[in-house]
Amino acid sequence: MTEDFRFQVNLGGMIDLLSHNLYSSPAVFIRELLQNAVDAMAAKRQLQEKQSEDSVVFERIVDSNGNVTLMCEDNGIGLTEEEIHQFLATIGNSSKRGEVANEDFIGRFGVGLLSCFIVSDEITVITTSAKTNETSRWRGKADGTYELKKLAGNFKYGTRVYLRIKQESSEWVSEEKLAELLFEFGALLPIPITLSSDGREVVINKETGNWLDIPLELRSSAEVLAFGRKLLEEHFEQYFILTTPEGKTGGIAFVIPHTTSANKNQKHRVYLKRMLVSTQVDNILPEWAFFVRSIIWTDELQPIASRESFYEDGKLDDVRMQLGDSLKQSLLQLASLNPHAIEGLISTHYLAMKAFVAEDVEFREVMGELLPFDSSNGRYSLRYFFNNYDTIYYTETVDEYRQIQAIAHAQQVLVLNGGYVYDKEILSQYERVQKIKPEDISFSFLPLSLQEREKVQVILQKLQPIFQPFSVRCDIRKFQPESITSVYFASDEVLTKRSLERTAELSNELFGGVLANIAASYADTRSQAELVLNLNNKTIRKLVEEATDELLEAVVQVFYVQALLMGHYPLKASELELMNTSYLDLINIGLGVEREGE
Amino acid sequence: MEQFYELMEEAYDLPYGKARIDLLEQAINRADTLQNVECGYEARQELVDSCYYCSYPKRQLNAFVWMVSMTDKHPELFDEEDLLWVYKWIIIRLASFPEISRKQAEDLLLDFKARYERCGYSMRTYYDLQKSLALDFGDLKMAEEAYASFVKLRRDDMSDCEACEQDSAVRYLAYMGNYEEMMQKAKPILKGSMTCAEIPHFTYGRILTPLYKMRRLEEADKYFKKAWKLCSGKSPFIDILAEILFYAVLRNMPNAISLIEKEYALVEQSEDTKAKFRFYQSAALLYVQIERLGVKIKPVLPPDSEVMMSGMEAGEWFMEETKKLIKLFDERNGNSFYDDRLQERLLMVEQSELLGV
Repeated sequence: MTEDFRFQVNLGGMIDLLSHNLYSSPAVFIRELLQNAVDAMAAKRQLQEKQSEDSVVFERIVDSNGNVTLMCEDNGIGLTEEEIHQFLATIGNSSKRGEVANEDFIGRFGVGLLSCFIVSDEITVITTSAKTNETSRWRGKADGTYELKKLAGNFKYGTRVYLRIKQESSEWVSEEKLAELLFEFGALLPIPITLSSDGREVVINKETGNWLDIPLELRSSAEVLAFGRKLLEEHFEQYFILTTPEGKTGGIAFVIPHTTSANKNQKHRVYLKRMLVSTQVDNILPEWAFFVRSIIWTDELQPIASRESFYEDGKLDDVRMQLGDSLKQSLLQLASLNPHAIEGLISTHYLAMKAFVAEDVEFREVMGELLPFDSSNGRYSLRYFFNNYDTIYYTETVDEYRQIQAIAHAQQVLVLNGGYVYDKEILSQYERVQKIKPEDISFSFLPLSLQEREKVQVILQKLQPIFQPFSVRCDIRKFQPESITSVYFASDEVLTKRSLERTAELSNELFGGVLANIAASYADTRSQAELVLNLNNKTIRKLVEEATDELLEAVVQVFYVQALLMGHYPLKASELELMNTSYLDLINIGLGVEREGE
Repeated sequence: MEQFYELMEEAYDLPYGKARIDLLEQAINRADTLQNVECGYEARQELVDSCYYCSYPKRQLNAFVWMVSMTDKHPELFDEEDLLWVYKWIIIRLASFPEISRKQAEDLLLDFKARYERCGYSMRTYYDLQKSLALDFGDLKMAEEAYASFVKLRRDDMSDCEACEQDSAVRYLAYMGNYEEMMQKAKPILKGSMTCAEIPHFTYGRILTPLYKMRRLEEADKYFKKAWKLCSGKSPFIDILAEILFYAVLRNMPNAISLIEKEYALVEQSEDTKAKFRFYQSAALLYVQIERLGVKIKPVLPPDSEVMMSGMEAGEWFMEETKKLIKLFDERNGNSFYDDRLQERLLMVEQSELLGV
């Protein structure tokens, strides 16, 4: 006699919830079947003293019309009729709360089974309880009906699940796909997983299932690298073993053999109790570990409802920190044992290594001096600079570096570029390295003689009104190298303001007005922008000595525009106009053409 | 042009932050010096995105305005539709700058509306932004009308993600003082079923003061911790950190002091005047509380910060800056909304009973 029951829940809605919202891919039904089997076998081990050999078999059965039925068989604890009722009730409860979080075995069983409806319209479970030896058959359909029947006869305990696969889902159960998915999820499970299809039988995890049973330290590096290659599908040359103090989480971090972007959190392959959680976990290692991809196994983290990642809780924080520490210790060890290997790492993963050194005192002591920096005398390691120079300066921005470097080089002053990410943080930690700003370059200005000073005063008085409209101060001093006629220095504020004004110039009234208002809120910036003419330069000297007012004006204007362009500061409309008129003036002066309108 | 591409490549490799912004601006300078409009556009596109993720709204506005102007000038080169998504980021920050008049902000919102209409998008996003701006202007009536229009329309491709929209409704209800409904709205976010890169961070922070007023303190204490953890050290969340700080000032002074010590370095550098103001205000209230309770321990702020260099007592400096900014904002907005809020909060501090003093 069979009894018809009806779910107390809208199963259709539930399936939709699972397949579209909870899980990232239909493929999870394989994981859920595997998980149910593993759980059932674990429960059986608690019940029995005498252990039978665990096994899970997936069999693919194709009928004459090409319809596929997938059978999954385990020799676990099985379910009694009462327990079947219990899991059905759990499904009801889970769905009412709109979430799937039940963690006891029976409840999880039901929820796991439910995910099979993503690929199947009809599921049959034949299960024999190891506790009571009774056998039940449950058959459920996607429309929400199910029947439950007790079967007579003598069955071996365990559970078989039959899924009649929907036509549109057949891609998920081709032999290759099944082999791929079973390996994906179950590669590290210590239970043999057999795939049977067309009379062929393969144990999917034969080589990998017991892999973790041997301590990693005892494996050859070739073995570990091959393992990484198999699971992560990438070729590696270097790895670090990750451990945690309690030993409930461990892993292998493979060094990515090419440069990676610091923005990208690497995706790690993480197993929970040896079952794959996800290949895409990006929060299990600290952010700075972006130069490794890893395989991690854990017994202590709490998965979220979909079992595809972990709760961001304190536990995850702890584990992340511990794994980070472990990686750090390995790196430090390597640095002391084999500095050469670290140099290789530095050249590939420069940014990551800089991040370490910037943020960690221990790293700085061991690796800091190995880092290379750009300097006015070339690119060398910090150690080289320390050994060869007494005084070392660095700039805080790339722009400042570019402004200073030529002058610094000419004067044999060593200036490092601290403008790239982490550089200034690192450099500022060394007492021997001092910060320098373009305006500090005055340390190298040579004093003017009294006579020169008098002359310069007169010239400057003539120049100030010319530059007033451009919010720049003009000065004349002596510095090296002689070849440079003039330099333009500007503070960040001036540059921001310039940039706002430039955009405003080419925008309509509305947009331009908004930017002009913002630009106007910057205080008077004249004192923060300076054009310095070099009296050591022949042209400037001649200009100061004997130029006519007319010539002086035109030439200095050209130098101003030139200094802007040399510093890569795009011109405002007014400066473009200045450039055009002053060039024309120069040409006219050269040709002896009289100015118009005068 | 080679240097342009080098700079762009270097920038792409950097995390979102000042170094990346600097390189992009240098790339822009190269492109502009050579008058290469397409490269200028490309670099600015990247800059606008980057500014969003590390909160440089002024630079972002500057780059965006250039892009709009070029798009209007060269419709054959650039597509107006490419601007529509980021335009939302621009509008939402307009009220952050007291330099921008209310008329200018509203005119820009109209320009925004015209472009959305022209490209065939729903007015839903327009009303959503109008509501947010109205809240920033302290114009609750306008906010109410905009919200009413907003809920009537259907979502489309330009709508913010559902979590953000939900949070935006939470913010609206918090401003309206409708706390019961606010908590109702916040539920799916607090339960974790609605999240995105910025939610629940914002939501946790917003509900703290309302929960305090409702005397639901246990919940508030729980969200305080979560909110701080999520927002800590991140410049796009300075205004929320300000809310979190204020809650700590009402509830737990040791927390308040460690919060300001930990987060203050972010604040002075911020380009977002409103966020800065809100943090200054909470900081000022922190010192009021220190005074009121006679707390012996004073927060240790960075020695090179403006407040420490000012030569004034920190509390005095924060209060003075706060009042200066309130004056600017209230004058711009044409009301006393910001000042009223300060008075309300001063009263709350006056009446607070703290834990762990």
